[in-house]
Order: sequence, then C-alpha cells, then structure tokens
Amino acid sequence: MNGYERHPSWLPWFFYAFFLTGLGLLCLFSVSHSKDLPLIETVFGKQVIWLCFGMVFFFLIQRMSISHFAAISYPVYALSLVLLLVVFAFSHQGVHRWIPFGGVRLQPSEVAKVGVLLVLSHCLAGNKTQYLSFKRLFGTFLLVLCPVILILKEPDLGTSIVFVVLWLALILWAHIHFAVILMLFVPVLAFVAGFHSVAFVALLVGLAVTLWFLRLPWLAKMVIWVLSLGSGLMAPQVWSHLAMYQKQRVLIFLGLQSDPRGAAYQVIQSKLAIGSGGFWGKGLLHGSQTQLRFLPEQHTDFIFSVLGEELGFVGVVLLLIVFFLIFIRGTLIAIKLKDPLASFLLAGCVVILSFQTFVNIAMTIGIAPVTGLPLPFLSYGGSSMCMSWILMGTIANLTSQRKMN
Amino acid sequence: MKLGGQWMAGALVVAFSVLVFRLFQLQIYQGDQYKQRAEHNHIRQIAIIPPRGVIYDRNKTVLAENRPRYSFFLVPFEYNNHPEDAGKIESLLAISNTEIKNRISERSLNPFRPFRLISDVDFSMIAEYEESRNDYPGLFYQIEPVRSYPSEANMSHVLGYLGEISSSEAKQKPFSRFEWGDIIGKSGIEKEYNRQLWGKRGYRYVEVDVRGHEVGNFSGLRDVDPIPGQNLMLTLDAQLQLLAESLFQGRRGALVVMDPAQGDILAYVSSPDFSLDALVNPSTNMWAQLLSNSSLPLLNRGIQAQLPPGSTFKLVTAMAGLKQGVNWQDEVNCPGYYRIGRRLFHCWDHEGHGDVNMKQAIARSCNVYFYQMGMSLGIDRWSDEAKQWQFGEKTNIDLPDEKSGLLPSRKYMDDKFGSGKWSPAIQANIAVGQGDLLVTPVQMLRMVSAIAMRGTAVVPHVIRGFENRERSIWERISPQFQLIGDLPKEKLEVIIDGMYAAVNQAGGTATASGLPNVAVCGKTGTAQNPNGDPHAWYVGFAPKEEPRLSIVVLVENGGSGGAVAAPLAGQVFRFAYSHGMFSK
Repeated sequence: MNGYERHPSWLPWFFYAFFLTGLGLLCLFSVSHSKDLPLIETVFGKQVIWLCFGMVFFFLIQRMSISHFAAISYPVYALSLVLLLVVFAFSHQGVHRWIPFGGVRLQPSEVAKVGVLLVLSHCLAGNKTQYLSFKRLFGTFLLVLCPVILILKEPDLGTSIVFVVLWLALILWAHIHFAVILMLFVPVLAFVAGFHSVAFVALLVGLAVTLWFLRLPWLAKMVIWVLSLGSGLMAPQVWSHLAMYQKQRVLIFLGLQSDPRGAAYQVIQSKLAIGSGGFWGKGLLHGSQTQLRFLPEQHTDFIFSVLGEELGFVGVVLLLIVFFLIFIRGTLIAIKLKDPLASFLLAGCVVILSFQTFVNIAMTIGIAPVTGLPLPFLSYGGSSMCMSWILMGTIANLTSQRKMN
Repeated sequence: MKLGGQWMAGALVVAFSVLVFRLFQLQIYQGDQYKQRAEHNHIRQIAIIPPRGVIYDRNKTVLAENRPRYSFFLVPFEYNNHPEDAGKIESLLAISNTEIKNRISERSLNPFRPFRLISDVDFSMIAEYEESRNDYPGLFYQIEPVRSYPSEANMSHVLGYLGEISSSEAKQKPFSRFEWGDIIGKSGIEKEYNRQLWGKRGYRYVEVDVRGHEVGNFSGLRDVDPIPGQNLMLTLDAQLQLLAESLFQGRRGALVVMDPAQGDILAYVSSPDFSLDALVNPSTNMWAQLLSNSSLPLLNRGIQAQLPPGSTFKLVTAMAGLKQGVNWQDEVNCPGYYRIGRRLFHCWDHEGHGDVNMKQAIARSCNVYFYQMGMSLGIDRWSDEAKQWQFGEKTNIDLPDEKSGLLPSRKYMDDKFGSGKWSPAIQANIAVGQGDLLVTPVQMLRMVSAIAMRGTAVVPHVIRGFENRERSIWERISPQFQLIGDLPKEKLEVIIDGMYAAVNQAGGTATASGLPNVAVCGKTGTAQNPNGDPHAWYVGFAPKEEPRLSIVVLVENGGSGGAVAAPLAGQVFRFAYSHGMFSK
C-alpha cells in the first residue's frame, strides 16, 4: 500500500476529543440551562451545533494524505493573513477580533493557528542541512511575525503568544545549533532584566564572561551579546506601548498593583469556585458559585472553574489525564515519525493545544495572568471548537498513516 | 537526535504536575476553607451608577440635573426560596405577591440577578427595612441618581425621557456597554447623546451573607469610582421656549425657532407634550394613557409629523419657475378658478385676484398663478427643484428618529397609478403643496432658513457643546454649512420680496405675523385635509436683511394659516424683539 500502513488508530483520538467536548457540554449546560429559553437557543445548544461542524472537520482531515498538507500550507496561510486584515473592518466593543459571517462570528486568529502551523512545518521540513540554516530560521521568523503583528493590533496579546510559543517549540524540534538557542533565549532574559538597571548590567557582564569561555564562533558570541543589549534597552519602550489593560494584568499578576478593572475579581471568584468544589465536587447544577453567575466569562475562558466546582478534584484530574494522554502520545509518536513534515505537524498540534490548555487552566487557578485564551474543546465558541477538532483530526491522521520503517 | 522530542515530553510532565499539585492544594488541602468562604461569604461586585451629565440651555440655565433616590432591588432566587417571608415584603413595599411574581417572570431570566422592584421610595420605608432587614430575603436598596427638571419649560421632546434598557435594546450595538436594568435615554438628546451623558460605571466590592445581604466592604479589592457623564449645553433659550410652549397650550402641532445663520435651534415645541418629571417614575397606567392618547403626545412632531405643506410650498414652485426663466413681472389673470380639462380648480379666494405677478402671487397666495405654473413646469422640473431644497431627505438634526417626508416624482406617480395613467391635474395640485407631498416642520424650517440666508443652508442642531471631562472647557460643536437651491441671489430676492409683501402689504396673507419695527418675511399655508379641518402652516424669518430668526409653525387641524399660525409666529417675533434678539 504505497509504503503506508493503515492503522485504525484514529478511533481513540476521536474518543478523547469527544470525551473532552462532552465534559465541556456538561459545564455549558450547567451555566446556561434556563426554564425560559429553549435548549437550542442557549450556549449549550449552539455548542452542540459547533461540535457537529468540528466532527465533520475531523473526518475530512483525518482522510487527507500527507502530501495534501504540504499542498494546502501556503494557501491556508495566505487565507489567514487575508482574514486577519479583513477583521479590521469590523469592530466589536472596540476590538477587531471577529468577522461577522451570516449570523456567526469567525475568529481569524483561530484560522491563522492552522495556517501558521502548516507553513512552519512545511518550511522547517524542507531543511536538508545538518543544522537548521539561518536563512530558514529567519524565514520562519518572518512567517510568524506577520500574523503576530496583526493579532497584536486587534489587540489580542494572549493569542499572539501562542504563535510565538509555537515557533520557538518547532525550531527547537528542528535540529538547531546551540548558539542559536542562546541567541533566542538570552535576549528574552535580558528583556526581563531590562526593567532593572543593576540586574541588566550584571546580566550583560555575566553573559560576556560566560561567552568568553564557551567554544562558539566569535561572530555568534558578538551577536548574542548585542541582541541581549538591544532587547534589554528596548524593554521599557515596549512596555510603554502595551495597552493599559495588558499592563494592568501583568502588574496584577506580579502582585505589583491592586486590581482596578476586575481581572483579579474574576480570579478570586474562580479560585473560590474551584477550591470549594473539594474532592467530589458539589454535583452538576449544584455549584453555588457557578449558579450564582459570579463569573462573567464562565462559559468561555473560565469554564474550567465550573468543572472544578461541580465535579471536584476527581473531575478535573480526569480531564487532566485525558489531556495529558493526548499530548504525551502525540509527542512520543512525533519523535518516532520519519517523515519530517508529519513530525513537525504533529508536534505543532500538540504545542498549540497543550499550551492553551496549560495557560487557561493555570489562569483559573491563579498561577498565570488572565490572558483570554480558551480551553480547547471545552470553552464555548465556534472558532475555537472547530480549531480544536481540526488539530485533533490532524493528530489522528498523522498517527494513523505512519511510514513503515 | 531530536532535542525537541524529549524536551517537550519533559515540559508536559512538569506542566501537568504543576496543575495537579495546585489543584490538590486548592481543592483538597484548602478545600474546606474555600467551601466555608463560598457558603458564608460571597464577594459581590456592585455597580455604582454614574450621575448623568447636566443639561443646560444656551444661557447656562439648568434644564436637567440629578437627584438621589432610593430604589429597592430584589434577587428572585432568594425571594422564591423563602416563601414564608413573602408576606413581610408585601406589607413593607405595598406590592402584592402576584405582582412581584409577574414582574419576576416577565423581566428576569437569571434568578440571581437583582432587578429594580420599586423606585423613589420614602425614607420611612428604608428605616422600616433597616430595623429588621433579615425579614426580607433577597431585598436590598440602593441610592441611585435620577433626573430632575428644575426648568419651568417642559422641552420634553428635545430632552427626551429615560427608562430601563429593554432586552431588544441591550442587544444593539450602541448599548453594548450597558447592563440589564441600566437607565438609558429613550428619546430626544438623552437618547442621541446617551453615551456622553452616561459616563462610566464604577464598582465596589462587598461581602454578602447567605441571605444575600451586604455584610461589609470587601477589603481585598479596591473600589473603582464612577466617572460622571459629560455636561451638555443646548442651543435652546429657556425663556423663548417657555413662551413658545405657552402659545401651544391646548393646540396640537409644532413650532421651531432657529438662528438661520448658525443653525442653533432656539425653541422647539411639539404639542401636546408630556411631563418628564412624571416619567422619572412612571406607573403602568401612565404609560397606557400616553400610548393610547389620540393626540399622540409621544410623537415628536417637529421631526416626525409628515403632512402636506399647503401654500408654504408655493415658494418652491416659484423658485422652480424662476430657474426655468419665468419673469417675475409676467402677470397671470386669476378669475378665482383654473380649468384643467373638464375640472375646475378653485383659488382660495373665489372672487379671484385679478392680474397678479409672482411677488403678488406669493403675497396673496394666489392658487391660480401656481396651478398654471405647476402645469407649465411639469412634475419633473418641479420635483427636481424640491429635491434641490432637500425635501424627501432628513435634515440630520441631532434628534433621534427623524422622518424624511415624501417627495413625489414622476416615478412615484407611475408606480402608484401606472405609467401615463395619472391625471396631469396632479401637477397643479402638488404645485400648491397639496396631494401626496409630505414634509416635516423641520424640513420647512431648513428651506426657509436657506432662503433667508440667500442659499446657504445649515444643518439644524440642538446641541451647542459639551463640557470636557475636567469640567474646565466647553467644547463647541461647529455648525455644518452647505449651499443648496442653486438659485442666483437676485432671483432669491424676488421670493423674499414676495414674503415681505405677504407680511407687510395690505391683502397679504401673513400680516398677522408682522411687527412695526422689524422687517418680517413670511408665508402662510392652509393644507387641506380630507379627515378634518385643514392644517395651519407658517414659515418666515426676520429681519429681511441679516436675518436673526427663522420659524416654522404648524397647527394641526388649526384652520387657516393666516388666521391661526401667523399670529403665533408674530408673538414669537414680538417676544424676541422685546428681549433684544434682533439687536446685535
């Protein structure tokens, strides 16, 4: 069979995704059920419709061949850039995040996640040299930069971070030189240090000394040091360009400022809901915090707190186990895949889903700032739901058509 | 070989361990503590409603300001959960349980969301509540700012009334920042400038006990002060407004006075009107009365009454004739009727006006002259001219829900009667402002003001400016000008001379609006109405050179324009003269 061996192994992936969506639907039912509204008009009813769309995507993608992924990569990427531009024609409560489209709202940044994943994988898989070439590294950087700038302009800081993380993870997944790793990560450290003059100077001196003793080309050492200098000096400028709400969220998270806008209020209520769930939870439809509608975003970004309150530690650990199984199985298979494109794609799917999962849950339990990233499969929203199932379809596809050794 | 593989697996293990550890800490280690806090203490975010911006007239007389009131709110969930206490609430508020239940079912989808049950309660009721508030589960009161109207003039249609946001409004874009139960502008400038007048909501955080009663402020979160709405200055003159309103006592209609040079609306009456004070806390009964009243007090007649303009529209027909090269000195003989085919069209003066030229025809409002002109112009040239003067279009005055009237064209007639199937006599009829033509009073005001300013139109407006947020500077809104009509100045002077003669010459129809010391120009109209007495119209301005005031008067079913509308305009001019509005 063309050197491919078909496993029926899409089935477990489908069940994982279905299980997660089912948990999400339980929570949505709990927050939205009402005597006065027919079920189909609540967020629960709408999410069921989105689930159907998601499953259609899953099966369509699950049947694609690997060459199709390469073929559609640039078209999908171009489409997502166009959508990210078009979105500026529409404004909803002062932000440009959605395109109204026949009664529903499309979130172009979700489309862009798939588009960027495809081009990055395609581009990185094309590398033939031992180490990832600088040209290619820079190329992938530009590919990520365009959507990130557009998404920052929407403004949507949280989503743009997903793209940066995806890029970093995938170039690490490629074989890159140690010097490049230093070049990427030391400037980030310098950026943080840039807010404190003493720390910044100490870092620069320490870096110079360390580099002196490392066995690296002189040019690389120079570049690393200059990049760190530049990034540290830029830090205060970048900060002053952040939107007020973004600054406040970071400051509140760092405990440097009390909360004037209610972000901390959300987190306090979320922690209270989850904590009071205890081991067994209060039972579906019986969470007092949930039913009291203390959280304004409880059907989208804070859906995890509904789960935590009503199904307790048992419920959340079950959820975490399923997520973990998906991610760890995906990673382990991605390591073994011989086809580089398949390997990058699979790793990328895992990165996007796992990063969003971690940041969202961490936010609801107060160990990450409030970023507004949805929880894959569970949060209410058509674009996020479809994107989750598309990525899951990709995972199922790549793991079931492995190239024979 | 691949660094990423192991690195990622490791990162996943660490990340998920962190989550599980933290969840264990929250739900199991501190679980009981959180459970207690959740059961016995809720933190609630209570909105603080900002006071609305104060509205002033052009002389800084306060027209609308704020006063505090006490309102009781009810959380349906608590109320339904404690039926044993329902009787106490009933006797405290003097509202029957069935009514409370009705209100709950009609207004509240979310049983945990408090809703405004009763407003403007007496302080004695608050005192009684405070004595034993645990007897009233789910009931609490708040002080909220509401409108009060210290001015003697009503101005109900300019200011507009307020009300709780409706569920359909809450879904609309301009109200996206508003929450259920918020009081928003429903008409007038309160609606048009709702966003600026509203300001920004503040918050305070309180802890509440199991019964939903406030225990105290929550110290963990800092309260946010509300930002009051922006103050606003109207172009209206409260004194002139008061006079204009008194003129309309017992009449139905509209009267609007404007500075034609700047577009400032100085007085705006739509009668009958309603009491804004009473609508601050309206009873259902009152609403039923307002809505069922046959004289439509809620109709904003200045911008929403669409009626035939009668002879006031002869001005437009005359301008169409001038544009087509008609010499104003050419005379037409008026025997008191005009024959089209087998039909006779009568002049209002059955005796006939004899030989009249254009100026005399305007002054004496001769129908035959304009029948004849309408027939020789034809509908196309006539409707083109009316379109030049922007009939059939909104004036874009800054009041909401303006109507655009109806300007018939050849296409309109063809659509209505079938191509070629309509009688040409219609052209004579609409030339004197009868038939299908519909205008709003403000459209007529725009036209007469543009004539007064010799072709320069200005968008009428009621807002003069806003006070900035710091309450230090008034930011003026600059008027928008536009050249309309496209008629040479010397031809406009013919029209103006005709209007001057109508007021100041023996035999003129508008003499009742005249003043000995001021050169008033005007034109009356008596619009026939198949359903009753004719509507009386008047448009005019003064003085003739460098006009300071323009005016439109409409008295619905009032009778003759010369006898009913013109005297009202005369009284406005007289008041303006005695208050120095014509001096520089």
